[in-house]
Amino acid sequence: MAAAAAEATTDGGGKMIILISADGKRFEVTEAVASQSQLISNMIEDDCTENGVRLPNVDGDILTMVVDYCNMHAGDAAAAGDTMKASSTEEELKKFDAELVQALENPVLFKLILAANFLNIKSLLDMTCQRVADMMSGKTPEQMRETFSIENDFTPEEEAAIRQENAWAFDD
Amino acid sequence: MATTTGRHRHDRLSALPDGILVRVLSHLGSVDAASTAALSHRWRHIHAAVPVVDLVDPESDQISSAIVAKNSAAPIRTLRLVDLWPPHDALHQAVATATAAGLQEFDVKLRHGDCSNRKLCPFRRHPDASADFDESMRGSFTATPPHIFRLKSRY
Repeated sequence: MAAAAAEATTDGGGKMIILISADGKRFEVTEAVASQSQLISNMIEDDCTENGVRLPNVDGDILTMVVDYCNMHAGDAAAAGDTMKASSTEEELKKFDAELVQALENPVLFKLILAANFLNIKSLLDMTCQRVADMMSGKTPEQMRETFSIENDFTPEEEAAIRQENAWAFDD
Repeated sequence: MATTTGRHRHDRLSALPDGILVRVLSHLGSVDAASTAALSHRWRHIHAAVPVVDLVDPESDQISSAIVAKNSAAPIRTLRLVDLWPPHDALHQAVATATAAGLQEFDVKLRHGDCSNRKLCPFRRHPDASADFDESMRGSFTATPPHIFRLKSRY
């Protein structure tokens, strides 16, 4: 337990807090960056972040991505306080988001969704859910099962009944 | 283990909590979303909780079907409708849904191919509403200008 200087501040001002992943990795971020997570924002309000924030269901590699994302997007959320980096332009942000989300493969994508959900970071949750939706869009149920390894546990009769019930959504 | 070609990946999508699956389906058109009912038991009722109706060029009964397919406990929050040659009552149907369902986002785009004697856009007084000719027709003063109606609002 390194005595993390709880009151440490950056040159630009803004209190730092420590996030601790499930596997014990520590991330030091400004409050402005961390409070994009509604969960952490509430903790900051309640003044219970001095000893670091333990995130028992977020692994270090996922938290790395979340922290990168929040660092990049700190500009939108925080009032135009001078963060160390000049706040990113909208175009850079779009490019960053597109590259992040495109690079995500199945298992990591789902872990990131769960982390965004747990931490309650709406923009990241929307972006990752959109990515999954894009992978489903325009596909038949058979193709969706194929893409995500979903096991069809219906009997043929059950499946036929469901297709009948939702006939407007099936053009067969 | 040497059976099929390594078809043993984990279905991590279905393992996500209901709330997240509903959120994923909110990003899909209603037809794709409803078709997930046929995936597996896990997915059987997920689509009914999705608070979005999103249809492009729906067939005549699809608007009402998409609405009826919803779980009555899940209010419809968003209605997105794009229709190139809608029946003239499509707008009424959409407006009726909007008012009944307590919509937060209403995005309807209808393009009528023929002239109607009725005033078609009921949103004239809304600041975000617009009724306009199709871009290609703008300024060409044909007798049968297609109309585009659009209203997007958030409360």
